Amino acid sequence: MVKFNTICRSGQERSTNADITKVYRNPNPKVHPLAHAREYQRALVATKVEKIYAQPFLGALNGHSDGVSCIEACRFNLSKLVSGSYDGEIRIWDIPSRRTLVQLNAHQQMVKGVSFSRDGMRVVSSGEDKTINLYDFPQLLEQSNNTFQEPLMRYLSKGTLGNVDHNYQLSQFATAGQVVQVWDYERPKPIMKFQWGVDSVSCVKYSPADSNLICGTSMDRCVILYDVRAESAIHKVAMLNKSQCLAWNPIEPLNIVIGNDDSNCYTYDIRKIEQPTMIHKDHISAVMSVAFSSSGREFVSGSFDRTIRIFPFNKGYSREVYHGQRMQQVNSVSFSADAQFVYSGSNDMNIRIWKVNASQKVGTINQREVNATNYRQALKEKFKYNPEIKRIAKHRHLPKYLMNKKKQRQEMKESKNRKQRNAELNNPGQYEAPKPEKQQRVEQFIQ
Amino acid sequence: MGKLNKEQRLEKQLAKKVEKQDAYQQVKLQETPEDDFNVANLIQTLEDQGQQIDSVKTQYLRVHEKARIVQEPETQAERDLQERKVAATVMKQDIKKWLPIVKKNRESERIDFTKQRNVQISKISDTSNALLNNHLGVKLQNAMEEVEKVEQKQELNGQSNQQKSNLQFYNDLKMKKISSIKSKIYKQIKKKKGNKEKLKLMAQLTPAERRKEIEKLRLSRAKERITLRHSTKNKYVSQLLRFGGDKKSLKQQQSFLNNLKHQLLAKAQLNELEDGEFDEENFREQAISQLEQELLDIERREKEKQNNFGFLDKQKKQDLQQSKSIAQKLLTMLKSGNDDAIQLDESENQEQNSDDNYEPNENGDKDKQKTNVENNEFNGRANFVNETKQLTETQKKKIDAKTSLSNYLNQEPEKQQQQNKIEKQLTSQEEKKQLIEGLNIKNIKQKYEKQVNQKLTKQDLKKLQSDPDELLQQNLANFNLVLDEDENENAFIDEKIKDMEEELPPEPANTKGWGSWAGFGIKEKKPLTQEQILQNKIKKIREVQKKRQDAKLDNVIISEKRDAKFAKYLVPKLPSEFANSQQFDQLHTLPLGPEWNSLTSHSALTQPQIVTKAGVVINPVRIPQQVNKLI
Repeated sequence: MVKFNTICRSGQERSTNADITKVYRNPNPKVHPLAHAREYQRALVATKVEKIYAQPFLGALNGHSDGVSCIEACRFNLSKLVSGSYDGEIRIWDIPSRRTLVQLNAHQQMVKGVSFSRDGMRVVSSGEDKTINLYDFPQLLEQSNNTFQEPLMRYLSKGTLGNVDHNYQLSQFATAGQVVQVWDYERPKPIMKFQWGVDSVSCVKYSPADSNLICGTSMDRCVILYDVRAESAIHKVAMLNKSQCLAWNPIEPLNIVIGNDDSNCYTYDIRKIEQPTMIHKDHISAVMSVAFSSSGREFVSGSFDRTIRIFPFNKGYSREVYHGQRMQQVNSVSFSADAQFVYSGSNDMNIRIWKVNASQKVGTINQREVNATNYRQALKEKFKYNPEIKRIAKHRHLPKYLMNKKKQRQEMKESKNRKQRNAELNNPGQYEAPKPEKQQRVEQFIQ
Repeated sequence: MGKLNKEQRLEKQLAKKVEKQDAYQQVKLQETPEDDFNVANLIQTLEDQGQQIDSVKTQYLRVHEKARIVQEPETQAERDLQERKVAATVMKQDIKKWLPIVKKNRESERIDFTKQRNVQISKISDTSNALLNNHLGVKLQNAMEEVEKVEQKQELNGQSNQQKSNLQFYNDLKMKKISSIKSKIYKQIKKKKGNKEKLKLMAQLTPAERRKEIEKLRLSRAKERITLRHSTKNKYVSQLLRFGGDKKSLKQQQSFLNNLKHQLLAKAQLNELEDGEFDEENFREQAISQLEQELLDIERREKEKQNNFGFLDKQKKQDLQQSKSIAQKLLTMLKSGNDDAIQLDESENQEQNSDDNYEPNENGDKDKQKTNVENNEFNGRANFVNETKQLTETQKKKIDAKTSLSNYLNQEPEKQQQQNKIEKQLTSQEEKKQLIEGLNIKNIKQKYEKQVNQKLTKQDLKKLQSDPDELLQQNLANFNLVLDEDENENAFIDEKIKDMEEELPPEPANTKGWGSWAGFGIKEKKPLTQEQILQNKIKKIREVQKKRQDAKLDNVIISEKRDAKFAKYLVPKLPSEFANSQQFDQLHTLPLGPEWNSLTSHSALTQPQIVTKAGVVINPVRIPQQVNKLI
């Protein structure tokens, strides 16, 4: 509180509209005692407004007659998406018009994986019927009415198959399964096979920046790294639970994120794969699919708990959670190539389109609006430690089953810690300091 | 029994194994003596004989080493492990190329993904090849290709434009350097040169064109004059901007007219008071002469052309016309000798005092009515005029608010009785006088009337009658005391000291025996005197004063108490990202808004860390080609 001995001024000098007045600013913070309070109020309003205008769900693509098992957005064309379902059907979607362009009865059984080539000209799909189909994308669009189109090539695998991933630079693709196989367009047999360990590999992904590196997650709870040049695996790390999915960071090709069955996601640095560099917690059930944003700054994960979460790449907790009343277990997620939208395929036969930033306006935005939103974001960033703003920004509405489970987990965690602490207190000298959680989650590193 | 059997079996098995091993060793032992001939032995014997076989020896050793490696085959697992180790080292070596890129990305304040060069534009062929079968599709495709070609050309043009702009920039720099030359002689020479060239050009033009050129020149000069650089407290420019660029501004002119009227009226009033008659002719003559002068002045200014700005000229014209019309009206009325003339003057006069909008013609009639109504309401005026006639000669000259008030108050009780009579008595000339006087005294009356009605009873009024001068003087003195600056300052200082006293820690209650040693042989302390207590207090207050922010500010009190309302702006705990509170404050006290920053710094402060745009495909990271070549 400041009191001033007021000085009276005579009203002799009157300003008119015709006056050109030069605005002088004094940057001294002492002259602006209310700046902080005003900015705080603005930040508060910005956080509230963002919550009010948060409408992440844009629409659903429905047409599949069974649960959607895998989806992938085209890496070249922003409007195209390919999806496979449990009944062996593959559909190609036009996202702006939200309709099916091509419908294919590609496999006898479930479609395990689909993938686009980097230039968007080829589509590969693998099925549980041990076949891999390679399609010419323009040709598919051309004969869009024919549901029994023959692929360019059909490859037969000896063992069962997992997902398929196309190389980002070469005309090759890799499949998971009993054996990790690398295929070439021109060869009917795999050009390379990697077999290490007994159990099969559930998911493989090419490094988007490096055409030689492949990472896979196996059913025997391992994360394995392969090098195509060396024609062998590099090393693997065994965890406590098995992992279903993984994704490479496209901007930092050293880092991978895996989705584990213990409901966590783990970031690994492939140089030091002995233990994860970060654990991302928030899901309450197994993570079925992860996908990295092309900006490399966040990734999306779909889970068995019927939610999608968006994690910052360097934060332990999710930034956003999306759920719907009718959305069932999410089998597959994908980021659009411009890092603006997230697609999710779930067991309820639908593919859903979500915004990455829930309150962002879709459509053309003029510069003034951009500046205003930038200012609001900066303010939110500035005041993010403030308790009130933090509380509002953090709050998300969650369905009851999620809330209950979350509480239960918290209680379990607390009781476990309590028990540990009490045991240590009552038996001094008998317990060693507990390992950090990152180390606890890893069972063994195998070279 | 079963157990025994089992043991027996085991023993048998062990025995068998031992037997086998023995047999194997026997075979080995049998083999070794057979293998008598050995190259090593041969070399040994030869050396012993003293022959020079160094080269043979070295050759043998090399072959032997190689053979040893070949002879010991590895298991598959071992071989795989070796392979994996090699692969790991290769991979780790290879991956290092990404580190600088990753580091750069992590450390950079801002990554703009919209500036990527490889932005793809979707072609028709991407959406469907079916279109290409049609003629239309082919045409469209060709058209698109052409558009692309044009765009490429434009890009090339853009490059040349860049070159031009670079040249321009260079030229600008050069000119800047030249302009910074301070030599007077150089500037004179330059000016002369320029003038000569201009004259040459002007000589070639036709007279009409020349006129246009001159006008342009004038305009540019005027513009230059009005730029901010020149407007720094320059009276001429400020008036030019305000009133349209005359030496004598319009406002000045109008206020001059008003003053003129006031002077005339005041003169008339004084004349009347002194002589008891209103010298109408003299008044008119003076007024007419002055108004005519003013009109001439206006006409002269209308002919002048000073500005080339349309909007300023327009406003100036309007303003001049208004003042002209006012002056003309006054003139005509004065010349015609119409009784309503002065009345009209007054109404207009009032308007201009109350409003600066210069719209007298529209509201003129209304105001006239208003003034009439007001004049009718105030009826004590006539009596007051009569009273002044009766005053002595010395008092006549010193007519002021004081006397007029006392006179008015004397008349008040009789006012209502006289009203009816006065109304009848009023002639047209008297009416005029009333108007003149009423306008001057009206304000004073309105001011004092309320005070008088509220405060003064009849007894007080009698006192006022008896000795009004003394009372008024007393009141004035009181009023001055209130306004006294020193008094005000003292009060403020008192308040400040009180504020400081509140800050002092509470003194402990002076209970005897508490907080002091007790027992035999201890001297009792004398309690402090009032003076000592006061001096202690003063000392403490001075200490407090030194610490305060407003110690050197005489006219300000800054309260430094913790405000509960302010708590919401603060962060209760230091976030783990920061080492100490200073670090946190440094980053979070800086305001970001446009009110406290320049526009450029505001935009820089609020830039997002990552910029993405809908429709712009972001490609995976790539190593620049130059670096790739080196690798």
